[in-house]
Amino acid sequence: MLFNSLQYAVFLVLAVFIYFILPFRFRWIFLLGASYFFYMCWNAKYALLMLLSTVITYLASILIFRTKGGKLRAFYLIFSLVINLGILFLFKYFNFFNETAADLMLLLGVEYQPVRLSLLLPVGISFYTFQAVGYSIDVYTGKSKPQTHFGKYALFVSFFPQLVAGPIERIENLYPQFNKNHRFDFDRMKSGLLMIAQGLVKKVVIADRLAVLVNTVYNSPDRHQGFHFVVATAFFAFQIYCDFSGYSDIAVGSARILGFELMQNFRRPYLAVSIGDFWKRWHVSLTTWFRDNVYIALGGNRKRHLTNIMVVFLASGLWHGANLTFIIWGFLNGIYQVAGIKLKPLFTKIRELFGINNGSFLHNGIRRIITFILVCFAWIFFRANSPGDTWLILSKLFVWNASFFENINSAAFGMDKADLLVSTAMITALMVYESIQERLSMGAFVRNKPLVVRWLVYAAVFVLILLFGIYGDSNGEQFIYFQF
Amino acid sequence: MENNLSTSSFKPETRENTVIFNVIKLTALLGLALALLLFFEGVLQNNDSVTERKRKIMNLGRNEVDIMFIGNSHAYCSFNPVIVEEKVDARVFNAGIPDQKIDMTYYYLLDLLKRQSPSVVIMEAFVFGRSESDYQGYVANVDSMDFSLEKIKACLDIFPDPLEAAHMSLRLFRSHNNWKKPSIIKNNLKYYLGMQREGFVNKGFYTIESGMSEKTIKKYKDSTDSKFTPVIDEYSTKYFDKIVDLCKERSIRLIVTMAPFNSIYLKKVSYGKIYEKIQAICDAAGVEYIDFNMLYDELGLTFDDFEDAFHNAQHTNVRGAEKISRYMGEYLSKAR
Repeated sequence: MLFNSLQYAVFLVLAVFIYFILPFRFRWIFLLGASYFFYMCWNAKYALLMLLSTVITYLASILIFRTKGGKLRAFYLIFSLVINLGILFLFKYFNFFNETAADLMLLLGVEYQPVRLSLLLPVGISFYTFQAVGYSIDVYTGKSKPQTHFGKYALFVSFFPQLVAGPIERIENLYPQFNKNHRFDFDRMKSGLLMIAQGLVKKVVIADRLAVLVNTVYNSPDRHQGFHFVVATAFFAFQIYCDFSGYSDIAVGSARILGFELMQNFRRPYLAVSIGDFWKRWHVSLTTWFRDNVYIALGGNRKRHLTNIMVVFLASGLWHGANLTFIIWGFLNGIYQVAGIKLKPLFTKIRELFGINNGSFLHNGIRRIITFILVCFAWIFFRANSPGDTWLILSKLFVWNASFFENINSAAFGMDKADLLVSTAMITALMVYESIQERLSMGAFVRNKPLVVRWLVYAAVFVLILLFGIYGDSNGEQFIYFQF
Repeated sequence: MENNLSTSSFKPETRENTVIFNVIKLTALLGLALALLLFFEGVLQNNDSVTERKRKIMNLGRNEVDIMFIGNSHAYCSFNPVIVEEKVDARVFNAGIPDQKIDMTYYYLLDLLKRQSPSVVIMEAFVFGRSESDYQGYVANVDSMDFSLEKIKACLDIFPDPLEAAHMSLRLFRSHNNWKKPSIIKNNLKYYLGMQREGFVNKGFYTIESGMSEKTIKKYKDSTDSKFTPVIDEYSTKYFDKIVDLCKERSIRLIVTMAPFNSIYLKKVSYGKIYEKIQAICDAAGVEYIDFNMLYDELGLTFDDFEDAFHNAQHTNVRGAEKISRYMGEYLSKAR
């Protein structure tokens, strides 16, 4: 069930109600059942895969902890990694690698007919696999002790607010919370509901509205000209941000109502002043996962620093999908990081030469715009339906003639003028809101205001979703990160 | 600022934290949300033909109707209240609604009887008709009802899936994009503020002047489609019984009619069994049934009249309706 559906609203209300009326000792059982029920609403039989992943990582971690040094310890970790990542590979990457291998073999003059598996990708497999595998690695490196309570560990893997699209949680953050007796708290419920409302505004008001224009342009690139791609790509940047961070907000809000605090997955990424800063703000749970389990394992910044960065970003690109476009997207972000590191001394010298104040409003503003442009350029590869479409878009984007600005009207974008106006207004409002949030806690700001003002804010958010949301017969979009 | 909507940095005063006070605040907030929901439900309502017609009907003053026709387009195309009134000393009105089916007819009648107290209700039997292509008609009929407990009950009754029933209960799911249409918002505001009191010119009768064209006649002659949608099954009988019981409760004389169809069309469908079934359930309920397809001679609808009396195979035009309405008037004028 989607987070922006009536079914989820009913499910959450019931889950919260039952959770708080149950005695503490039964709550984890209820949450485990509710989480598996939530997952099985997508596809019942794939819950077995999640259970398998849970069992393997649970047993492997206990065995790793009990084995003192030696190759056997490493064997248990490798066993856990191979099984879990193997399942992920089978469902997500087998066809891609098989077909790529066939193409390469053809270049060498060897004909090979690849076997194609018709397997539906289990929802959330990339997320819960990484969460479970991350736990095994943490036990191996000594960062965490193994959890002996299988039921609560299973709940850690399957906890419904963050199961299908993150944040990818760490055992030391989430697990201890299952042992705390949370009492129902009105303020916490209010805070959770506000997070959910924020998420719904981002998803149904902004992301799903922007999707109309993005899909019109990106699904038929042959029919559009240069400027269309500029607008569509900028819109996509906000679509994917609002879609994904909206989901995360709803996840965080849902968990908070129940008394759990999930990690923050986004920190206003389009206010980043560099690509490095961007990746500290975007999908933080995945970035930190790769940093802790891949980058540091390979040596971090102590040896082969730049190579390690490229490996991490290529892996991140591949994590997002079995398509060359995602790998190129990851590669490009890696190049940005490497270039940023290599060019940093040069930029410092230029600043000193021109007396530019590092951190001034103008300086940061220019850096933000450049960072946004670089990120948007990479998004082209992420969103394009195929490598062929990508090259077509790029070829039309870098043609500077009259045709670049042809046919600029709302009809060409697949939207009416009112929707285009609302889309632009919402993006502007979002950036203003996040700029304020950068310096000031909006939650505390609203909560300190008189009751009438607070209620006006709540009413305004409610009306915004009611009127401008894409729901009902307006055909909302699937959450983008569900496909990963 | 991390975790901006966290509660960790804020500790409210003790009084505000009492459970009762919070429950009161929550209830009041939900009340505000409901008020906003109802406001936008009304203000953004689609102004389709069903809604427009229903509003005009609801604009009638209280207790202004003695004889009321209900049903769908077969009702409002066939019965002209002005002609019926020539034969009876009563106030007649045609309250037919487009695309209405018998389940909606029942809830619609409940709504009508809040403002009117007719002594006779004449229900057009084509409301028994149901097919898969009726969904939009259902949506339009349901959306013409204002949000109420009764509407929720109707949706739960009619739509077996509770989530679909919830979806149908709130027309905002379908009409929220009307914020782009200021004329609709203006129209709705006028209606709900009581500034739009437009009624019917012909007491609800829908005037169609044109007869059947040569092309239309040929189409029906060449057609191989023999489906006739009135469905007399457990579901439609359930609602028929509810209507019968409602009328008995209010001491209303209920008459069921089947408006005439074009004879060419009639020959193509197995009409006989439908007529028998409706007659049987009316007899069982003690309700009068008039099938105009059995009364062509009495109506004065000769074979030659057909192309001129019908707009299409299923709807009479003003000339056909005149003949039916005169017959109906004569029928009602006789003592029971």
